[in-house]
Amino acid sequence: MYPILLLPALILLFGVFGIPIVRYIWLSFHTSSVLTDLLPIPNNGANWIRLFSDSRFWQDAIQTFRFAISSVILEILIAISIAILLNQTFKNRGIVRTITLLPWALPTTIMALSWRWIFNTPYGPIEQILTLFHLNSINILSSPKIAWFATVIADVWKTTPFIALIILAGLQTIPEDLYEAFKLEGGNEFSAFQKITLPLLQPYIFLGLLFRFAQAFGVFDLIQIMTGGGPASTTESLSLYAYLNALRYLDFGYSSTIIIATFILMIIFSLFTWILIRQTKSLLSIR
Amino acid sequence: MSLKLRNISWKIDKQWIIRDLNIDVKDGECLAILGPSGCGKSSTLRIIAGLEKANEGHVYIDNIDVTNTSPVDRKVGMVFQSYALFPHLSIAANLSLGLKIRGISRKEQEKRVSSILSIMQLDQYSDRLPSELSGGQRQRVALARALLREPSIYLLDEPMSNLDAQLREELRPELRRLVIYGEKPVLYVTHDQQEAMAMADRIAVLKNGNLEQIGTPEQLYKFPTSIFVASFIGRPQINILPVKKGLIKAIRPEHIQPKDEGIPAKVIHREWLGLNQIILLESSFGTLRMSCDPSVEIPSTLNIYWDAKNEHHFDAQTKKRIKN
Amino acid sequence: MNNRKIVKGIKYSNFKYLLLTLILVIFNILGIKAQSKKAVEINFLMPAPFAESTKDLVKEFNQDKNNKINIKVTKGPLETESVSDLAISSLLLGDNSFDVILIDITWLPKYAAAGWLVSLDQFIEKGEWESLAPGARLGNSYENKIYRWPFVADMGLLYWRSDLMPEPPKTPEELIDISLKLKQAGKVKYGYVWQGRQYEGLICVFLEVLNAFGGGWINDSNEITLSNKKSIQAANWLKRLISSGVSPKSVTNFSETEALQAFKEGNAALMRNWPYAWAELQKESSAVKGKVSIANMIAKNNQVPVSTLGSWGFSVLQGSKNKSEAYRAIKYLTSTNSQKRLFLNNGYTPTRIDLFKDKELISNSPILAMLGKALSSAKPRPETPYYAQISNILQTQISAILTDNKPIDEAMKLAEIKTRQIISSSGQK
Repeated sequence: MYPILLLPALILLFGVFGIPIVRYIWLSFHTSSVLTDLLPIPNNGANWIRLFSDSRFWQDAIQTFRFAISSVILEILIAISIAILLNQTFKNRGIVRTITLLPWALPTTIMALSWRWIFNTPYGPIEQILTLFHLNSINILSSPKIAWFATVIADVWKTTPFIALIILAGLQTIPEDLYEAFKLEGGNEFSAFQKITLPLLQPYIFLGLLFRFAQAFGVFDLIQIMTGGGPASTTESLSLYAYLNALRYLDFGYSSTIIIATFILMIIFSLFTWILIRQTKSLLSIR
Repeated sequence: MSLKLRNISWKIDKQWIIRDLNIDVKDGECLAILGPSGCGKSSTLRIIAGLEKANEGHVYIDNIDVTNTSPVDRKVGMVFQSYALFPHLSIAANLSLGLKIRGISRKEQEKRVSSILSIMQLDQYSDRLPSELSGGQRQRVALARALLREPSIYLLDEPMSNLDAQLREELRPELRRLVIYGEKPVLYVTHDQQEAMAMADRIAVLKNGNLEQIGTPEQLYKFPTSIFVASFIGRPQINILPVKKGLIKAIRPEHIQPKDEGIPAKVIHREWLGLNQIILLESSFGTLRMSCDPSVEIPSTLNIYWDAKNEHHFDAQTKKRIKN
Repeated sequence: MNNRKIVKGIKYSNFKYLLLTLILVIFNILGIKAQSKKAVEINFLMPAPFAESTKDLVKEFNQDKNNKINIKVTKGPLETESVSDLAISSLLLGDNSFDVILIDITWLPKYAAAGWLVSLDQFIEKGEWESLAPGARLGNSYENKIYRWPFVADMGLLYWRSDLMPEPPKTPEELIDISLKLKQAGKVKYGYVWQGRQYEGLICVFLEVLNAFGGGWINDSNEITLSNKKSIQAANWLKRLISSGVSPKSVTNFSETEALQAFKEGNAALMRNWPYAWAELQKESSAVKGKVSIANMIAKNNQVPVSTLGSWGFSVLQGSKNKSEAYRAIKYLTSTNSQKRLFLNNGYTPTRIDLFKDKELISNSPILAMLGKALSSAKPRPETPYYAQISNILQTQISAILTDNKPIDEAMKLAEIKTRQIISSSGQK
């Protein structure tokens, strides 16, 4: 109607997102490090050539995908169960709902420190329990094969409540009489979940999925505190690598390249997810 | 006797919602359950459908005790107030879902669905989602679903309350044709006395979970057994006259007439409705509603009169009818 | 309170009083201004523990009006790398709010190369530099210019349980023998605890082991020697500590804190840590109080034991408007008197040579002589602006070796190749 009214919002959006992105793209085609006295000097795409042959970048990309996909899938599965539980009527439901949300309200740094302690060998509670049952110590955070999963557990613990909340909101939009009508038609509880709950929750599940994937793909603080990227850099994420390049190595050109490359990977994956969503959507709803 | 409710009682926590309810509905009969909100009328329907279980009493459908039978095996065709159509399924899928669950072959499903769609004049909407249909069309889909169920009994929960007045008028004949003139008993829950009178063979008036009166619309109108029924049936509302010697008299507005040597009254408000006019009067009996011929000229003060044989008499203590 | 009375009081008060108050207020403002014009404010950025320990010294300095300098300390985060992040962010933004920053030895080349630091050569008077202990003089320069004045000396120490062994181990073999014997005898749960987590601490440990075997990282002629025989032997030994049970498997996630905790509880016979641990072990809560001594790091018979030098020092930032005052403030905090007090109160190893001979300090501390000895054998890490990169490469590979993620040869070779790539792409040392 009045497109001009959108202008302030667009300007703000450009200021907050556009300018930094444009700046990073520009910087990714420059060398800006201690070698150049931190001044940006054009390098004809040397950063990008370096990126493609940088095995650490690709390893980190795989690790970041692994982290993001595992945590988001686990989170959604657990969140659906939690949301269904919280949607029942029981005593003190309000209090229980609030408590369930607490992990999400906790600052990441604090919860990451706590999880680092939980997984600590030999003083953390998990090790203590293992010792109690005379089981072998598993050195969770110092085992390259499982340390990454410990970070997934911490992330799932923290952000599941957020998805559970979105899904709970979705559940509450499903009228009770749909289930009753379904029951009168002869459906049981399990098929009701499959035929009514899941399809109607779909938009909420996908909303949570996209939200969380983008967030998990940019994971930084959790990893930095829990493992610092170790052991043997098996938990290092792309954000952590970009951070190391910028603030530790003072190599701003390459850091920008990593940031833009991460951004591109994320967009590709989000598009892929979106297409997948559309496919399953047409599968699930018999039109 | 196709539906029998025997001594049905139901409570939530310690609150009785339905108390000792006994209702019989014959094959082909339409019974409206009428009452204000919270009187237990929807609960009655849900107990018959098996969505709730009564604390006491028995439900018989076709003379079989279904009190402990699962909802699906009771074979009820229910139309919900909200229609309860599955929003993610097309109209055809909404209709075939039940058939599919009950293991009817795909070919048979298609046959039945397309036949019901054409009966309902919904053919061209079969691929649409419920959200793409109008309120009246949705109601027809809900009805179609109930019909496809080939039920032993129809349960309609306020089927018209989500529609506007004009659409309601239009849909009444259709509803009657499809469901009510059928051979199965129909239970029709409504809070609208006019709709109940228009649709039902008999009306059961519920109040606080108790059956206040059951009978034909005419019986209820002419011989209300309590002040509650008298006030609930008939618009404009019946005039309740002041208590006198333990007796409450009531007179319907249409029985009050202007007459020269009558009770003096003053007009405080008038509604001219075309078919009649409703005059609100102030008199020694308090405020009275009078309904009379629209062509009569009503002055601002007048004398009114009614025939004593048209009065309804109720006991002031029990609020019940006294034979007169 | 009776408000009406106050209002009345103002209403009826003499105009003269109002004027007098006004004049007083104006004089006050002018007075403060005049005072602040006299004292130059020098803003220090320090990690939180240092900011705490220097509180009293700073207070005394500021109270002495003759100094005409007002030291302001900004307390940085507890974690040292976070302090660097904060400093770098502020420097990149061109924020001139800090005059002096307390930096770690490994940050210096990077900061100096970035052009953020002021060369102190212009302020250092003749003979002043020589007042520092030789070990403390290392790691303060970049391209032959001094950029940092050392504040606290830090070097790797071997802590040993004097109740369990008559002598500390001197060679790598002895360390393993003693540890295994004590462990088998059930005297301790672990033999040797150190820092094995993937972080800078692991490099400090590894460098000492490298030196013990005669191996090396980058030598003076800029050659990378991580995959030579001796370096591989060193890595092999470090891994053997875990596989033989001398060190617990969990050591691969130990930082200083975890190592200290294990040692403090009496669970370990030997520990590699920094001087700060000494004070912690003397506390009442320590299970090993009075049962601990410190020694030089171990080394093969034909090698000189070397400790990794890790020290903190003050640098003046380019953005400072009062550079010579900043230098004076630094000199105060690193003076004989200040360092003496910081050693007695906080156990900060001094950097001034005279303090290692100070009678009062010697009588107060049984370890001062040992600290002096360790400092004289301390060696800084490679002094290159790319230190963080090459350290990160080595951390990753050593961590991979220790956690069985990669064979030793392969990991060391990879570390060498990647380090060479970094160094050669920089085209300089």
